[in-house]
Amino acid sequence: MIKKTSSKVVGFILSLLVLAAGFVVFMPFLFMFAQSMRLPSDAYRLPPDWFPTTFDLTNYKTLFASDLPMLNMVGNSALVTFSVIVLRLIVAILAAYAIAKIRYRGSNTVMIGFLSSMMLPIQATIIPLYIIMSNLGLVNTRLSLIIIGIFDSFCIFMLKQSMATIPDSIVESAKIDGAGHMRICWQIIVPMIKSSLATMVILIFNGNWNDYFLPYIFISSWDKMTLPLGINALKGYMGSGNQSVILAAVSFAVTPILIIFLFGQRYIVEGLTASAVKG
Amino acid sequence: MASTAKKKRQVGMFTTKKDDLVGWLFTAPALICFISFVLLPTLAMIGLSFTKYKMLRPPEWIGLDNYVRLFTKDAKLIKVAMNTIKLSTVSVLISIFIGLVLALLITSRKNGLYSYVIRLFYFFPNIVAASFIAIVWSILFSKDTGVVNYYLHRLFGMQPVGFLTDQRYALWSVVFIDVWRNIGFIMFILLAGIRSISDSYYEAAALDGASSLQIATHVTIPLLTPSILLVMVIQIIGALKTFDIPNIMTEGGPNDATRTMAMYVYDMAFTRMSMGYACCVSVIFVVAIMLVTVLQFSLSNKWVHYD
Repeated sequence: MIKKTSSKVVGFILSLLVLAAGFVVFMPFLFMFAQSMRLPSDAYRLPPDWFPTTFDLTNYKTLFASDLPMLNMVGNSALVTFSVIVLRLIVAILAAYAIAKIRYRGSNTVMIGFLSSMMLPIQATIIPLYIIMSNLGLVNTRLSLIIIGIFDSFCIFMLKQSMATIPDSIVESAKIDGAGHMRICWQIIVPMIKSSLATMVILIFNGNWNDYFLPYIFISSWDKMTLPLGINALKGYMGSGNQSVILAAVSFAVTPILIIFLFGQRYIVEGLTASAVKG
Repeated sequence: MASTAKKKRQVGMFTTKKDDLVGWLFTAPALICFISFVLLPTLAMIGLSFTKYKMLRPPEWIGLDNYVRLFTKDAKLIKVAMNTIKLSTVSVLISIFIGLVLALLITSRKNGLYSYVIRLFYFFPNIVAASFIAIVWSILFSKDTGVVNYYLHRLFGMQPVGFLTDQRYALWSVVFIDVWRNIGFIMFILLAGIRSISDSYYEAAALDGASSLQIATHVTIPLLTPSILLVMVIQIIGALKTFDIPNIMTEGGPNDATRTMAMYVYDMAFTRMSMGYACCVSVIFVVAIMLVTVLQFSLSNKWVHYD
């Protein structure tokens, strides 16, 4: 009995330690927010603040008063991410349906072909991709980021797996009722895999909103940059003298993500980890 | 039973040809994108690896020259490859170890608020763009005005350390940030794995009077090995592709101490405009990633327990 209580106490203390360590893990973000609201003259003053001691918005004003198009970058990020989510899902749903439910001759080969590309990192094929894009005249366009993002074998695979759990009899009986594949796919199957689709949206958003590599390769003008690239370009443009303005820019970009995470963290964490486990 | 089977076959047979056509039409958009942006670039990468190509003039066939140079004359590549291997193995092993310990420690905490706060603290670094993380940590790690050096001096009286400017430490600073970003992700995958282990194992262990440490090392961890393998494969592939953080924080320096394979390919292709040689490095890069992955799976039956 005593042993049991003592082990409970130990467990409790350990979990508090995990919590305290977690706070330390989170501290860089506290630093970022607190520092961005300091007076510009205090930018380098040590010790640092972990919680805002002043709520001074001068750094944010400097950021938006500069000739750099911050809001434009938000728009570019939103445009690219939203387009990739919509197009990738449409293309993947059609392909997944054909492979999982129509099972036409050759569908297995197609799936194997798709899957074999999963280990190919984009960092390796980027050179030919760049050559293709430059031949299409798409270098330094947002369209280049979107069309490269459309195909994703992992997305097709996940949706195919989730459609495969739906019994064939549902498709068969809809067919007997005279429904075509288009209708079966969009009106019967898609509503049944909503949770997989939601997971995919989280995954695609996370990957695309945060992407730095593709914009870094393809985008060179300010008005077309997405946030991760633009804020880093800003850092070079402003020089190291404006540390707190850069932190204001990062805070500005991270805040919406933090808010989304505060509300939907359970789904986000489950979505990102579960898809890794299944795939 | 028989009649439904028959009906099924009839429906299938009646529509086979049309279904094949519809199937191909449905797959066409994916297939077109796959061919143009995956298959074609891959074949082009292999093809160009046998050429000298500087973008301005058409590629010039030079046979195996690039490969000969790569394997015999490129000392920098060896350094870059070693950086990438060091970074991947050390960061993945440390983050799996920490992630596993954390997951084991909080398994029995089911309190909603506690889980919420833990998820916020540990998982948030994982969903913030690497390029933002790089900016914040550059400032924290700065030599003269950095927060980390300030506290090291205050607490231990240490002289400022050039975390990003000293070639002895720069790579390990990148590893540190990698670990910091990834422990949350690993922790929650492993936590899901631990919670899916059947209670009957624990009941049996408790009947035998096992301590919680014994249960962790003899029951939980062995049963968790499939999840650990999975996390390891995902994380190693991710780490081998590292680009964003060192590119922003150190630009590969000092003295190439933090240059990774992906950065080397980029540098070859877009700074020095040696597209042919860069493709050759890419081919080796892809082959290496595949070999590492296959190796992990084939070594796995030595330590992974499958039910």
